[in-house]
Amino acid sequence: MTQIAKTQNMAMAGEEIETKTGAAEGEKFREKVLALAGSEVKTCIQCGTCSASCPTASLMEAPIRKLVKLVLEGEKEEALSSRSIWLCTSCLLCTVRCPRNIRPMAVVAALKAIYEEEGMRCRDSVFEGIFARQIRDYGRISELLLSAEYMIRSPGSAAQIMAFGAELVPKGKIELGFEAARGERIEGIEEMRRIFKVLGDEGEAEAAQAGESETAGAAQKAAESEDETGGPI
Amino acid sequence: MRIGVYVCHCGLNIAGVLEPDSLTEFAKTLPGVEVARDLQFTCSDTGQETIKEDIKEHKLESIVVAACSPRLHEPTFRRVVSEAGMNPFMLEMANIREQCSWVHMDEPPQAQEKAKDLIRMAVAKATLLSPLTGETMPVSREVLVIGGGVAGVQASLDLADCGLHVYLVERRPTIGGYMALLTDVFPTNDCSICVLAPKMTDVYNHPLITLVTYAEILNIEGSVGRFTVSGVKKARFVDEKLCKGCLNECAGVCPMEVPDDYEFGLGKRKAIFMPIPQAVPLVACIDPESCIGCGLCAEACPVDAVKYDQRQEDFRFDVGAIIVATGWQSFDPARKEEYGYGRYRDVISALQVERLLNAAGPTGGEVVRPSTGQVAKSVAFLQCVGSRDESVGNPYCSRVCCMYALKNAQLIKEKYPETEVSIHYIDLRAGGEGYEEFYIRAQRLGINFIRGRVSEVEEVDGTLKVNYEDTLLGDFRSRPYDLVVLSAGLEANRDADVVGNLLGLSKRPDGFFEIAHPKMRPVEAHIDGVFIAGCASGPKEIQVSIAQGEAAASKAMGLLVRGELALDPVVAVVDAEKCIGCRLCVDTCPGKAISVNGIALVDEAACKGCGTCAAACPVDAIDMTLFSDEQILSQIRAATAVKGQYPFIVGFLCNWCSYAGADLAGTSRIQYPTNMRAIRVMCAGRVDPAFVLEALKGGADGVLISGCRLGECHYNKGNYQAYQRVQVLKGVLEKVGINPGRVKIIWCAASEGEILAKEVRKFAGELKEMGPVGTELAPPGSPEPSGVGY
Repeated sequence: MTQIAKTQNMAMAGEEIETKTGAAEGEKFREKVLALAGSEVKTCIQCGTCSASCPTASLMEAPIRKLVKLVLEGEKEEALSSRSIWLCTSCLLCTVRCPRNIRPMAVVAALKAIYEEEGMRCRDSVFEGIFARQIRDYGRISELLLSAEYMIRSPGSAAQIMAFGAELVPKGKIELGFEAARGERIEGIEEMRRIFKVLGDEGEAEAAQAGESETAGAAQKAAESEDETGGPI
Repeated sequence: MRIGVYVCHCGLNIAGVLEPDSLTEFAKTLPGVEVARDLQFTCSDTGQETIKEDIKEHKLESIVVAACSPRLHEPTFRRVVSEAGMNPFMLEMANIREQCSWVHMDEPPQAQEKAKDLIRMAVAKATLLSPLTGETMPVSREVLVIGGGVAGVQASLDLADCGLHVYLVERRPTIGGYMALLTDVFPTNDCSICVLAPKMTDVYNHPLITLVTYAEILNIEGSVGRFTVSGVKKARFVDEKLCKGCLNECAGVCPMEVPDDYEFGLGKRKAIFMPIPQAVPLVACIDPESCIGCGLCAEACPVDAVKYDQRQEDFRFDVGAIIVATGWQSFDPARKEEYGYGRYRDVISALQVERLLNAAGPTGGEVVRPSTGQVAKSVAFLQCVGSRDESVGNPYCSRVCCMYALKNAQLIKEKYPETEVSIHYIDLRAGGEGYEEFYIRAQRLGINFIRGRVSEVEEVDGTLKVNYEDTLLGDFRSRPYDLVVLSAGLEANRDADVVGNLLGLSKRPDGFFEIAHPKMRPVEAHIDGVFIAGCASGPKEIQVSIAQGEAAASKAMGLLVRGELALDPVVAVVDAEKCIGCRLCVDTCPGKAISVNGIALVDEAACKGCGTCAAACPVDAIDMTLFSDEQILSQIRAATAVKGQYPFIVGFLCNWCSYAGADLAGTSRIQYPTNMRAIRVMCAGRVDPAFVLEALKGGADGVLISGCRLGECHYNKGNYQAYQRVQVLKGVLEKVGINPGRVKIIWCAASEGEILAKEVRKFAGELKEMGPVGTELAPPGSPEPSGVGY
């Protein structure tokens, strides 16, 4: 039963309904995802092809099939709080195989967009943000800079993977030293910027924001708030 | 023209709102009106007698009845005028009840004005009526049935039993279709060939059935009542009359072995073969592709039936009706690459498991793994392979797969109780008599039901692993099986395209042949005299295919049993002088009734009178016998003669849906504004842009065209053509400076009186905002629009 129908039925019975997300807000959330990911999402039959095809589904508490259902039910809070959206590798197998021609990956992308828009942050979104920004600005990833920024902005979660990172250094998987830290740009970085622009990334606004957060105090503050929403590993 | 006008009171149904006596006085003032009377109940015996007496006394030539809807009493009054010695088509009705008094109960003065207009319009048309005679045409009482599956077999038997001669044409060497190859069939699990074979033999032995197997239809010409069909019967290199069907002798010595397509690749057959043991006709056939011409079979045949020099034979029949029972083909499961069909030997199709389970099949009924030949200890059925799957272009449900999977699962479980059998499904659809009980039976037998569509099948160390999410538990599993059966869906038979094109059948988006109405006319094609039975019009189980074969037979019988057809005189006529042979009419005609040989020719037997061609003709060379250009234009002129209301709307309503919808608004007493004067046309496709322009020129503020809902047109695609024309016309209007919003096309079903009323109200509102027609042409600042009657 859709959220609307549910709301109407309940309203008729003269009862108050209790969902984790308020009915009106849930409906707004549902419509927003549908607008971003395509209204064909409504035709989902919950067959499970997407989640059974998903390489990371077993790590998710709400695999993609369930995420779609949560969206259709307007369960905003549960859908956004799920770590699943950050575990998606964008392999698109779900989208290739969906028998209803739904693009489940687009649902994930929509959820990420809404997540950012709402100003929510978690360790995964922070990491993804830093990662994307480095690609945009340098056209490549510098493990050193990435780790450093992650450490500043989300010290709690960064600390937990530090041991793992340390293991990678002797294997040569993480480049250290001056070269890496300088953050050299690839040739044709303008092309990369253009890609981001086409994809709707408002680089300037974010860059400005990032510039502000350079100050240690602000970074620290942000890091603290992230860890609250980040949840346990 | 001497016209009689009869205004009905219909008790208080009309007289309660309108004033029939003053309408009568008004009618008397119209040109050509000889007599006008108001009658209490025009349809009563007294009313009918009055009309008849007037016709005789006043030598009337044409009659107008202003009363209820023509959809109700037109047949009655046609009979009345015909009893008075007049041609029945010299009648026109003004609908002042359903579309006036009943829908404008709160505005009697405006309703009265509208009624006057409606009567003026009817009189204008009545002036231009001409006598029409419905001719009869002798028809062939023979029927062609295309396809010898169970639907075609049943149709042939029913027709022949009623005394009609049948030609049954089958492209393969035996009749019986897919049903002849299945093992037991649901929901009773009786042996398929055991129930079908007697019918096949009956076909062979019936004196009124000419069975033509191993044949192709190459051409079909003509129309209802007189189709000419020609084709070839391929050479089977065995004399049908001599062959005794012993088979062992010839096939026993044949050295060539090839995969057997009747076993779906699981078994082998010889180059000389019998398709199935119960083949009808029971005659061997040589496959020239694999025969090496060694001559051993000819030597071995005890009756010298093998004829290497046999040639294909042409055939040609004249038939009155055609039943298309061309069946289906299986979805090719190899297209779902993730399931590994064609890559892993133990992944097989549903048709293959039918053959494995069949006692006459390649394994004698043992369900074995093709890779090892050992009986399978665990079997999975994967549902919806190529059905409900947009990624392969088949969004539809194939309807039979749930049931056949349940059936095959039961058969395996009964034969091998130790074998683990699972069905992986999205939704289990067991709708039908005894079907749910059949599902319960499968559950009781211990078959596993797992909800979740399988994502992929992998072969790991000789075992098949089936990966899926159990969506009810939310668990991911990789389950090993010995044998995986893909429940492949049913697709439209591509081999039937030739026949479909020859007949001009339309196809639905799913590729199957479209029937005349998705609910009310289940076995009729859009083409008169052509019927569709069985899976040719979509996936069906055997029992429904049989029912459709019977239904198609009874429809064909009803058409041909009298040996003659009454032709509807409402048809298109071509003015040979004007026609330029552009073929536009051929493309627009939904009934394939027009051919062009220099100039267009209308086959009156096939023409259904929709008038779409007349609207399409670029040189106005086509007109209709009734609903002619001149008649409709005169109605438009009569409608806009006074324009007692603003905004003033001329409406064109298609007879089958929108006019009926407007009538329903009347019977349901749904009130709407009085602004519209409706003109009945057979189809929205009849509306010539010239009609719209004439209305606007006459000063109508807007024109409303209403057709059947898209996809529900009585003439298949007339409403689409109307839509297209309106779009073009809007562009033209915009160019000349007229607001294109003055022309509106809407869809309204016969059940949607509410929608029609709403649209009229909405349109009147929109027109009010636009101002009177021509406002937009006035230069800015000019106080009065010029050139039109405001």
